[in-house]
Amino acid sequence: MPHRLARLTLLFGTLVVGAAQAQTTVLEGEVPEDGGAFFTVPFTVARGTVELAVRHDDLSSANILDWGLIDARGTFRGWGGGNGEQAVIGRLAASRSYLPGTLPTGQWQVLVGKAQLASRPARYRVEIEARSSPTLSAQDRASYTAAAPLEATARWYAGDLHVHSLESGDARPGLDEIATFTRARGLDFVAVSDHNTSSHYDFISPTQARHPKVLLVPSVEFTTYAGHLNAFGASEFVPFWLGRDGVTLTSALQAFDQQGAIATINHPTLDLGSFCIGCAWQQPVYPSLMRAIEIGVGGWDETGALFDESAIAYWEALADQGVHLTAVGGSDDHRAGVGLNQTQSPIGSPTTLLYATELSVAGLTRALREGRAVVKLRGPDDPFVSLSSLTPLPRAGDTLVGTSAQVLAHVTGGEGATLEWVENGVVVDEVQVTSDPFTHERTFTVPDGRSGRLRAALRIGASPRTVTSHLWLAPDSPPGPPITAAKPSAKGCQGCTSADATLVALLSLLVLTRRRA
Amino acid sequence: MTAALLAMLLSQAGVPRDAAGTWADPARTAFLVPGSRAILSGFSPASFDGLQPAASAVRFDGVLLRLPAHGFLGPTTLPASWLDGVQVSQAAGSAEDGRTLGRSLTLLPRASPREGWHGSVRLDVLSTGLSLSGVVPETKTQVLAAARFFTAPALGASLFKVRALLGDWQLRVAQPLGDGELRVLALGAANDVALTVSGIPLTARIVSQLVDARWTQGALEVGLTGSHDSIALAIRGAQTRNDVIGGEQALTARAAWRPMVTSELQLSVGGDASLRRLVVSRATQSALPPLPGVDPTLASTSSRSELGPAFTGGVFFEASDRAGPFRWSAGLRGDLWKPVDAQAMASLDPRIGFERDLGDAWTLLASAGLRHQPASWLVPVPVLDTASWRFGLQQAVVGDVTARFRPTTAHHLEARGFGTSLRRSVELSPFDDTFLPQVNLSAEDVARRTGTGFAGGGSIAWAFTPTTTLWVRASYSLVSSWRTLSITRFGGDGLPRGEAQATVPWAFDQTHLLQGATGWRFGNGWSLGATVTVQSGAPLIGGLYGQGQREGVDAITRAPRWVPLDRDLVGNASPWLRVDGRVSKVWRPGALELEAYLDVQNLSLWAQPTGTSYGVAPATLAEQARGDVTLTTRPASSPLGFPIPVLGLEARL
Repeated sequence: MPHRLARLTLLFGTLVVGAAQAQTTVLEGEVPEDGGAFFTVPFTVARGTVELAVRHDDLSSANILDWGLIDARGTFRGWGGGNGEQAVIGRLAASRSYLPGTLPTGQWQVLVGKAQLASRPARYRVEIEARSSPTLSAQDRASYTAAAPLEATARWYAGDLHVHSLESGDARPGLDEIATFTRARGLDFVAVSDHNTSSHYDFISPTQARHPKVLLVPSVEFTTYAGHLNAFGASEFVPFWLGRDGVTLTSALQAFDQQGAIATINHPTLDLGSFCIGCAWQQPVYPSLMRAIEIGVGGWDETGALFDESAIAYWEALADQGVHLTAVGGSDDHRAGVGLNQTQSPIGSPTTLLYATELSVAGLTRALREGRAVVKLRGPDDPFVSLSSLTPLPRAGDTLVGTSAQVLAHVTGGEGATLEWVENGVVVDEVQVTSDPFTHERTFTVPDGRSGRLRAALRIGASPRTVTSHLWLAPDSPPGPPITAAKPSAKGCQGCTSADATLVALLSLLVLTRRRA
Repeated sequence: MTAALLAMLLSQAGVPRDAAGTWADPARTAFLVPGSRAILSGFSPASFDGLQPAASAVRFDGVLLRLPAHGFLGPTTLPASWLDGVQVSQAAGSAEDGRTLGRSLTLLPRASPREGWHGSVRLDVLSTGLSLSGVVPETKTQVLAAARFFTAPALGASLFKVRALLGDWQLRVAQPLGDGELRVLALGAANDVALTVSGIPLTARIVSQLVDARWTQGALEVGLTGSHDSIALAIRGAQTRNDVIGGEQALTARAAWRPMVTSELQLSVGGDASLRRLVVSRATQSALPPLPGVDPTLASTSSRSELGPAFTGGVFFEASDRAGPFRWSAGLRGDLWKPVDAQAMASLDPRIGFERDLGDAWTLLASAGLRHQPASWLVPVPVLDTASWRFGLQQAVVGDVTARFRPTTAHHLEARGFGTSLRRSVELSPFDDTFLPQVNLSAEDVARRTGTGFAGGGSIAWAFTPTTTLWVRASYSLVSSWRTLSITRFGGDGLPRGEAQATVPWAFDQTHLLQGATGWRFGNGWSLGATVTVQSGAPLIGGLYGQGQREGVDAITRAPRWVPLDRDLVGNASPWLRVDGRVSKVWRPGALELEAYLDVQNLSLWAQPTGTSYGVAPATLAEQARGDVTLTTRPASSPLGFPIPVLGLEARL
């Protein structure tokens, strides 16, 4: 953009670094106020460049800028977000969050996101070092190919749908550590959902080969400054710079949908200002392109006690409007369970169970699409409850076609717990779980021409433990207009608060670790 | 046995009121007691004998104060005009004194006028308060009433972007009836704080209210206390609002009978029982995102959990001989706790104490006993304390020996040694980095945070009162405190490498504390006072004082970085010195007494060191990229590095 270029102060210098010939270009300027949440800083890559190192600085403790690269062909080359270290891109290797490959000559762009501009005028500084010989060793990367099913049994598979690797700037673990910890918690799968990049896809297949007992699912946390969503099963890059170059939320959702990925609204009520930039969902909801929502926002003992109930209410309120979303949970682990502070959840807290015919990415995405999901809010050791229809009705996705169904709740590991039946967001019955296993039936009926939804939940004492997704009932498929439900209400959550836990969970906001988008 | 050095040191007429550095608050002379120290310089309440402040119960007029300090760490919730000082028990204390591990504090009431009506108005930069006292001649009803509003936070609003409204009120009515007396005491304190953290408005409201009725007749005393404490927090985000209110209601009945069996032997028998009900209400509101064809709406939740009743009760029996050269007491108390949704716990605490006069000048005092307390949270926190009963009891064997030498009426010299063996400790803190997990402790977590330990030390104190217008006090104390518990060991990359049992210095360990205080009243109404405190630094084990670091290497960038030291390898913060000064002038025009005072805490401009701030030297991006990073340190200290002048005027009629 010429007007942005006009604002740039171009400083120029040449440095010789070691034996490698290197030319360093310094670009310093003012962050444009207009133009949306992103802007670019162009620079030229000359012939003979085999490796680029890009260093950046937001020159302020109050402002936060995110950083990425687009090459001369307009190809996305990585997004480090708030990475503190330099980005290095070579032909055979790249630093974390970035993609190796040939370095086309011409005009590249540093893509900059305005995560937080608290001090104005905001300035930036970028140093680009063009190297004629590489410094990085070749890496064990491979294009992602879906693994063959690890297991061909139809059953409930346990996993975590929201985990970050070191390819996210604010995370540390490699995929081997993630796979090992996931297995140690007894889980079957884990979705690696790094922020806005695709560099982690290159490591999934090699790592999968070393960990045949845990399915590594490609995903991405599509991180905007007004909401985050996961694309479970996505293995190709989708532009995230909303409002620039024609990128919109719908275009991104369509691109994910075309890959067969499941778009999931993440931590919808995690509204923590600059502690967690853009974490609460403020974007529009597109029911036909969004299939799931996180109701387990970190483990109950960490952040879930504060955010799960509001996320469940949010989910129910959307369901009142006829939006079908499958309930899932995500730990949002950035450490593979190691060295967590008081608000960070380990992989598996919460645990999401998906009923799939096989342990494969295709099998799991199908389960999500059909709403066959149960969330254990604390972790794998929580009791389990699943719903099934005893009435032989045709099923389309998450919806039984009919007006009345006899539904069976099957509880395991839940003796002493309370089973709650929740119809259209309202708790309509509570049953003591007196044995293991335990079953309880309920007749679910909807008025003619209307649809309705039923789910089950388990709580132990005052603490909620397990939540099923909705089982919808509608006379036709696709479902008709929703019935008018009670507001997603107090009654729905009556007594599901652990007194001291919630009280102090709120206090814990004072000590929450600041997170980047 | 309650005879203690403090009574001699501080409760002489006028001494607590003239002590410098107390914000003109006699209760804060607790910081002058040998063996005591502040969590942070200037913050209440005091820590005694290497234990958490929460280990010391604070009582006034026979009633336990649930919120002795505003905002947990601030000024006392009782008005200065009601107090004449503070008295601290010996280590074992009386058998009447239970459910805490440490020494108890008794706030000493100021003598009430026997006739007529009197009032005082106090206006200083901290607070504005009114107090009224008097006796209704016809009924001989004694009335004390006071109210106070804190003005200092209003100044803070502009200085620190924090809005705070603090206040307290008190009413005490005593009515002789026949041979007995009925006394009703009502206390209330409220704290409202609003601030913005990272753009998120946060408000907190802490309210404590109590009404106590007591009937005394001869050796008999019965009482009934009702209290309501609440903590409310609200956070308003861009899209959401969260409200949590925790309330605790308690009803306590007590009775004691203290007959003199002979002219020397006194028995004390009694007990109490308390029912508590906890209620936690929570509400959330989230704005739903735009949805085609749907009106904007809110997703909301509300819940109300009623937990209770929790029950605690205790009985005690004590015999004491308080006459003659050998005075002794022996007692036993038993306590029972029934937490909500957890098993009941019981304890049995034997206590003994004696005083032995050795000639005219020497007295030897000693006490020993067993004490129990549920898991504690650094300072007393209503709601949370009761909810934490389920973490089990702490247990300590305590004892102390004191030698007192009084060669003349002007000179008092005391030496005291103490030891506290913690057989089980569960000392939690909101300042620890594991705060939230501590609240939701599983059985494994409880085991991990449960330790054993020891606190021991001693003090030497000298009091010199040559005239009624001059007093000098000086003391030295050493407090060593450590715990054996599970700690995390860190690798060179700063990541945990595992857990290990280790003995670590505790927050109140290795404190050398040297203190001197003096006051001089001149004949013309002027008086001067000064207090000097020299204290060694606290161990840097994390939490309140930060954790020591060492140089390591970042696992990803390979650049140098600071990584935590294992908690058994940390050092101490630097020592510090504080000088406080006080000057006052009294006028007595007729029946009116006017006092202007200036009490300045920290004239020395020396903030208490809290460890080290670890950083990285400025480097160019290229240097950072090469890992050419220089790690830096600079001293870190408490925010109170400036003088706190309390300039005030008090009028008494």
